[in-house]
Amino acid sequence: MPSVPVMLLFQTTDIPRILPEILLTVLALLVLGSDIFEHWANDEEAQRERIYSSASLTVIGLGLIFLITLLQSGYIYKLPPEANSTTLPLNFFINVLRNLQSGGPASGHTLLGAFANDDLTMIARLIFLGAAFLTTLLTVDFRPTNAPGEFYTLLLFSTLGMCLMAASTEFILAFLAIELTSIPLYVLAGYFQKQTKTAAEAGMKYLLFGATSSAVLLYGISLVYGFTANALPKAENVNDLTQFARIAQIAMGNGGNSSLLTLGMIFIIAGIGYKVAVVPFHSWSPDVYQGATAPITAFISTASKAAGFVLLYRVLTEAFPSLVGSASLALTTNFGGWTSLLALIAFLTLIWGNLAALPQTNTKRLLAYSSIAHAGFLLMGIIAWATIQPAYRTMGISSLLYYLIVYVATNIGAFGALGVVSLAVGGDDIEDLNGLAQRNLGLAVLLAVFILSLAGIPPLAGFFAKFYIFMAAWQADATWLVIVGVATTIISLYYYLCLLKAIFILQPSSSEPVKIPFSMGLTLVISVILVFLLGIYPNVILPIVDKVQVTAGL
Amino acid sequence: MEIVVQILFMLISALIIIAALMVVSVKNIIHAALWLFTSFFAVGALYLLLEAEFVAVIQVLVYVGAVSILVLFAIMLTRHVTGEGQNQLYSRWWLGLILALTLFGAIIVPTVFKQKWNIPAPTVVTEPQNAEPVVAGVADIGKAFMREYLLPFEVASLVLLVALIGAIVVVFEERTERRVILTLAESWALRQKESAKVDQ
Amino acid sequence: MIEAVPLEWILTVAAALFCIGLFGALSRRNAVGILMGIELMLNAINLNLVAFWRYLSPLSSTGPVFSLLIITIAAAEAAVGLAMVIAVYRAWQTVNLDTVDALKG
Repeated sequence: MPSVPVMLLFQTTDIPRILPEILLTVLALLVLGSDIFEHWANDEEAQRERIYSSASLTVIGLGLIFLITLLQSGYIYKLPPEANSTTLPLNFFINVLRNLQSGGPASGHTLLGAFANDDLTMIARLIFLGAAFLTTLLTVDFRPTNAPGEFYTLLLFSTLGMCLMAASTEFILAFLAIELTSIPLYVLAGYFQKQTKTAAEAGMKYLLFGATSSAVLLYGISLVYGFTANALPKAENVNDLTQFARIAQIAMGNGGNSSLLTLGMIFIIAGIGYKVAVVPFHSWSPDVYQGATAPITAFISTASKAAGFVLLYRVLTEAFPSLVGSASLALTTNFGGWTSLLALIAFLTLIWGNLAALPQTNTKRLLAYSSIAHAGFLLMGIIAWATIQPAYRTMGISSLLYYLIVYVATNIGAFGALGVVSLAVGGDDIEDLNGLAQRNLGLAVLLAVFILSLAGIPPLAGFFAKFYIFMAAWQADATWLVIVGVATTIISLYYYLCLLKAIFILQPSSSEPVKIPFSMGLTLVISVILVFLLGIYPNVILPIVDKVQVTAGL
Repeated sequence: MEIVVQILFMLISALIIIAALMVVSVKNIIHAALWLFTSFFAVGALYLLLEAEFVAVIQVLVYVGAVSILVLFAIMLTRHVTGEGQNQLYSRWWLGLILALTLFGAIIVPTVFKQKWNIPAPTVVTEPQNAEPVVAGVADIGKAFMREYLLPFEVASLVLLVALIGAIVVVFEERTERRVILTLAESWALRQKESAKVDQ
Repeated sequence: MIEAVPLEWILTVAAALFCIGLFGALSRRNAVGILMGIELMLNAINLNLVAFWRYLSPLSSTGPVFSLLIITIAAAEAAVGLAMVIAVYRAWQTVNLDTVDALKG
């Protein structure tokens, strides 16, 4: 039995590297356990108390983990490397911080070959933790009455799954992370609300589509495993056949032109494509978005989609750099490889997402199609990898991350504002928005800001994000896709303006004012600040997202 | 010897395919579930033939033992859906058929016809006592779980916990909404009480 | 011993099983039927993995480890899925998915 290299064993020094994940697990178990000590009763007051205590534990915990991760990342303050004098009273804290930051982003080092701890993971973690924090604030007033402890536990485990998804550099861990993300979301999508009929339907559809897509993804992974195992000498006892870097290495050695590898890659793109809802694989998302409660819809449409995109980026660039192809329409270049495939998918997604949104009458369904269209824009950030200059590739991933951050903030805000309306009015059709400006001007203005940011109107964050991602795609010779993107953006203005017309011009059916519950208001305010800040002063985030190292490709 | 293995393989795979076809085509959903167990069992037999004993045992334990029973429970708890007499397929089932057949072609061409597999020559074991093992055994799998695959192993345990919580949350009924199912003794006592009432 | 059977035969069986499962998942009306189709697909994947492992890298343990984890996840997914079937039945009195279709635009 040959001895195992030290890198393949779990070390004590690895603990800071997965600290956010460990803390999330502990918090989830704590929330689950603490619910037992609450007063269980059927009357309104006791139930509300139970929800508040579970929710506040979750919010405080998530906030702490967010802060710890932010400190660990070193994006706001990085300790100088040399040791400080030991006499300072602050020494204890400095040591704690130093130990924390020893697990900070370090490219090139992966835990057990399966878990990368680089800047991409760090930024993605912050996105997911922030999204979970805002979602939790939104849920309090929706009253997941059946079982609040379980509700927030599932939410936290789903967040944990997303962090693992963004970090995994190996297919087995990636698959398990996808399942850890999805299974709680299947349950959350339905079973915590009153109108159980549509809820049950949404949960069931989500699960069936998700399970089928997982099977497709797994078949692709098994083919890729066959490819790598085939290329190796038989007598070797190696357990790294599913690692992205290893696959890329073997594919390079083979000239990267194996139909087996290509087929496996297509299956994998299809499987992840389901999770991020791009067009041939989108049919579940309008139903699920409409059937789930607004906060959960916000979570599914933002965090889960962001995790899918980060994973897609990692898989394609780290495992299949040899199959990159070209996104350009010019016949001189080779049309083939995953950038061509993604360009095709992005084209279909942009067209179909925006056109299908036009006739919708349900606001959540409309935003579902709008979020499908946004997936088309997000794909452009990955397509930017088609260029050979590393600088432009870096621009691709940093524009993707910037778009994701803006999209998460905006969409959570939009679904949150719609949630406030549906709580007060009791429905989520466009008609229910009629005359919102007369019933609550503040809420109307907030919702308008989010909608305008989704549409990409200049001073807001959505405009800059779109502009940046168009620039990245332009550099990658996907000029035609940029033109399609601009054209569909103009189409999308129509349905966004329809929403604004309902809010500001049409007459309300009743003049009763709409009240904003405190915690939901807090979420809306945080989101709107982010939307303005990132739009007017993008330099807050840009230096951070630019840090993501692009692995040396071809 | 070779021909025996080949015939054995043919029989098992024929059973797998026929059982799977029955699963997707029979009208009675309980029959479909029973064919599903047959298919699971035959796949387990194929694992044994492939010298993956541990996977075979787990296949029988988890699929045949647990998943099948779960499926039967679900079918029995959702009565009136055994579907005798009514069509079990969508009216557009041929679309699914075309898609599946196309996919079959798309998979078969690269894996079977185009790919050249480097199969090593079978190693002839001369001294069974101190020969190197040809196949990774249960011990190797266990070690791999504790070394390279430590993280997936831990995450799998979390997935199981989540599934447990999720399944309970989904089927949990509020106490006020819960149907009362009497035990035998309770129903007997109730009947006694009612007959006593009638007597009076 | 198993070398008497070419790898291609096993891959063909696995591909056939996967496509039959996909057909079941796409065209069954009954939610339990769809879940059964998905289980068939997962079995095909395990068959693929074990076959690749046995023929191509028998000394490494990636194949069995992966298939064991897939069996675990499949069981977890089946548990949640069948629980949902029961919940759908409670709300709709049916589990045929062409009836369970209130969400549309």
